[in-house]
Amino acid sequence: MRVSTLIKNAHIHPVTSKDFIGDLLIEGSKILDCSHKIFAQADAVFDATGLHCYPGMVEEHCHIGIHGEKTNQNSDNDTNEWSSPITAEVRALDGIKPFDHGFIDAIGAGVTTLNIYPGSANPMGGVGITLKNDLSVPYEDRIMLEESGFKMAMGENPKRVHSQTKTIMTRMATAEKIRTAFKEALDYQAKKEKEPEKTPFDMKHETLLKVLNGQLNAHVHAHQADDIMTVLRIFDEFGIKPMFEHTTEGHLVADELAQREITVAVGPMFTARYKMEVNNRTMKTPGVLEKAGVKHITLITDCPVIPIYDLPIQATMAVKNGLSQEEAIKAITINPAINLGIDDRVGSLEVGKDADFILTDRELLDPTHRVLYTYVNGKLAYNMKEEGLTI
Amino acid sequence: MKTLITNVVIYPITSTPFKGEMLVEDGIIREMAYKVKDREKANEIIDGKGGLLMPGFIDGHSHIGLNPDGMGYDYDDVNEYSDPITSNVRSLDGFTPTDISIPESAMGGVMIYCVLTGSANPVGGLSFIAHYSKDKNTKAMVIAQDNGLKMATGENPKRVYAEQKKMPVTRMGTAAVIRKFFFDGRDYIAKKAKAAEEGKPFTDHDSKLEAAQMVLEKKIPARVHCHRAEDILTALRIKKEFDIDMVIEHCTEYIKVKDQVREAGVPILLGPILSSRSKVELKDMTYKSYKVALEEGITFGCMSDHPVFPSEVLRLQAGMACNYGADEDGMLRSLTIMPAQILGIDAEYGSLEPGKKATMCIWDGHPFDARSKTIWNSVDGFINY
Repeated sequence: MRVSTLIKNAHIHPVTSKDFIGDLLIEGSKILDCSHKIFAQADAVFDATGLHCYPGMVEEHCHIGIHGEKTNQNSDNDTNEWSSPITAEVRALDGIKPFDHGFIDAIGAGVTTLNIYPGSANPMGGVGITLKNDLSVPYEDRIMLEESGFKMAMGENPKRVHSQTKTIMTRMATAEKIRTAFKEALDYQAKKEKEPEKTPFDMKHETLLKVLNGQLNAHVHAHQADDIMTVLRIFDEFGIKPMFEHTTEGHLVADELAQREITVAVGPMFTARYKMEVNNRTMKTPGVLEKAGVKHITLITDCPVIPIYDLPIQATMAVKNGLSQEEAIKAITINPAINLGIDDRVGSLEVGKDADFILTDRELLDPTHRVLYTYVNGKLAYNMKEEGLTI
Repeated sequence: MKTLITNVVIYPITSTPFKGEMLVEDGIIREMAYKVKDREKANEIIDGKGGLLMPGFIDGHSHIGLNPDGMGYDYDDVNEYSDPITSNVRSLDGFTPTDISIPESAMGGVMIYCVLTGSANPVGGLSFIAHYSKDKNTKAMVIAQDNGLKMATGENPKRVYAEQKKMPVTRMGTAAVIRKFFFDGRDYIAKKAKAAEEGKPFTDHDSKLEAAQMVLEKKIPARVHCHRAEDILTALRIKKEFDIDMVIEHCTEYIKVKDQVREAGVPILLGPILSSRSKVELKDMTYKSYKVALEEGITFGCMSDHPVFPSEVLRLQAGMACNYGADEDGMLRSLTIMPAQILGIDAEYGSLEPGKKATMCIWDGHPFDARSKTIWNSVDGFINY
């Protein structure tokens, strides 16, 4: 039997429409109604007078579970399969530790959807995964997208890591490895069509073909503007469109990104400028991108690079530096959902969507806000009064 | 040749213990009763002195003989770590039958063991089953060859291949290596089938993929080393993807994923717990796993991973499990009939029943008591002492 819950008199922020004081009715794992006044019987009624209700946040780029926290040992770190520069065949699915503490942090912070990528050591790192952060169900049942995006990386990291394996010493080689991998995948496809029986199944090429055929979006780690331009150049050659991750110098190429209708994720902005390629980092980037007309700007923590609970605080800082309030909230809810192709399920409070929402004592962009309750799939997953602040 | 064993408490394992006698004929158990019928025809009589007659224990996961005790590096043949996939090697070819641990284990009641390759490689090699023999001769010992293909996930392959800068250096990589192995195996089977269809001789034999074929055709199970919950889940995912038979080895975080293990219907070999938490993936190791496995009613074996701890004291690990709430009879089954079922030798071993082989020993006290010792044993009817 599906249980229904009625949340009454909350300050509701649907994100995709204007905020209002009203009610939210959920049944089972879905939102049944969201309007000014709901006259319906429910199994439980919750008076949320004075509280704010937002959709559960969506983190588009993190490494929770794949980069295990707490032990800080190599044993728990499965982020980078750095054994060779092109590891398109590996999947974040197989590297995640579902009992990692990061998932608990995320629930306490109100982050209910997590997209987890392999790391940035390899020009082609592997396939990401999107999880609903519902800790009450087994790992496999949390999976929203088993293949959510294809992780690629440019700039310093592949250079640094693969100077060890002696395969990449410069940005030139990173570009070359990517081009060659795509070309080899196309050769594989041609060979497979011509002589299917003589072509052994190859997971690496199969994954790359999904990228080339547009079935799987490439999400490219790029900090510097020149790295962004290199990616655009390569992707033009193959007729595909990337999405950018980090985009630290995005403000320098904002017009180009806007004109090409390319979506970007920005962050983490709370680290030191600990490497050359983040020297030009500024909190102004999201605002500049918005003004240039870039759509669906997304903010990311790259957790555990910075903790997952920095997600809304980063949005606050972006507002302080020129991003509109409206877009800042979208950047941690509906925009990442759109970029991942799961906006039919999460990212806003709308009828028919998953009942993932949070109740806070103050507005989300007020850094003093506390998440009092987190609901995932219609179930109360976190109750601050009972569990205390878990973050 | 008929042997009468008298004055013992018989623990058949598959039924209730009772005081009585047993008649063994040509190495096969013929009769068990309070007084057996043909007792006068026995050629020899063994007086059990009131001891406990139990089937020989079965250590389902051991490296006994692969790294003989006290023999050092030159005799270490556990891991062929030259390549992540070494399904073409066989643990039997690394086995030293003169390992001092073998007679010691027999003294501790462990008379049958499955010897597997180590856990350095995602795909390690083929295992075999042997029993104790006074003859210290491999031929006399082996029960079954190539009975499973060892695989490994988690920390070990990562650590070994990070040093070599080869895939896998992550859990993702390990899964990818194993998948590739099975994808190649599928292509290999198809190639063979095509050659047969066309009536041509098959000239592309690949000793590694022969093992993949055996697993994919369900002739042998994959024996997958997994400690952490996520590694168990990855193994189960691969089992589903390729529709293969599987045994989960170690299964240290079993309790966290007991539902998924039950649903997948895989047997597990639990242990070693009688050792330290020597690495991160053993952090949540607990004796409670045995209790939970018994409550869940799954098929599991209590194993030593010899030489991680000596197979000789396998029975003490089972006894410790009882300290943590496991049922005593259940733990006896986890040393006998359940591992026999997992290894597919339960028609002949694992319990005392008429028709089964007389591989058993007499204990002067309960084996879970550290002070107890075996006072007599026989393997397939051959009396050793």
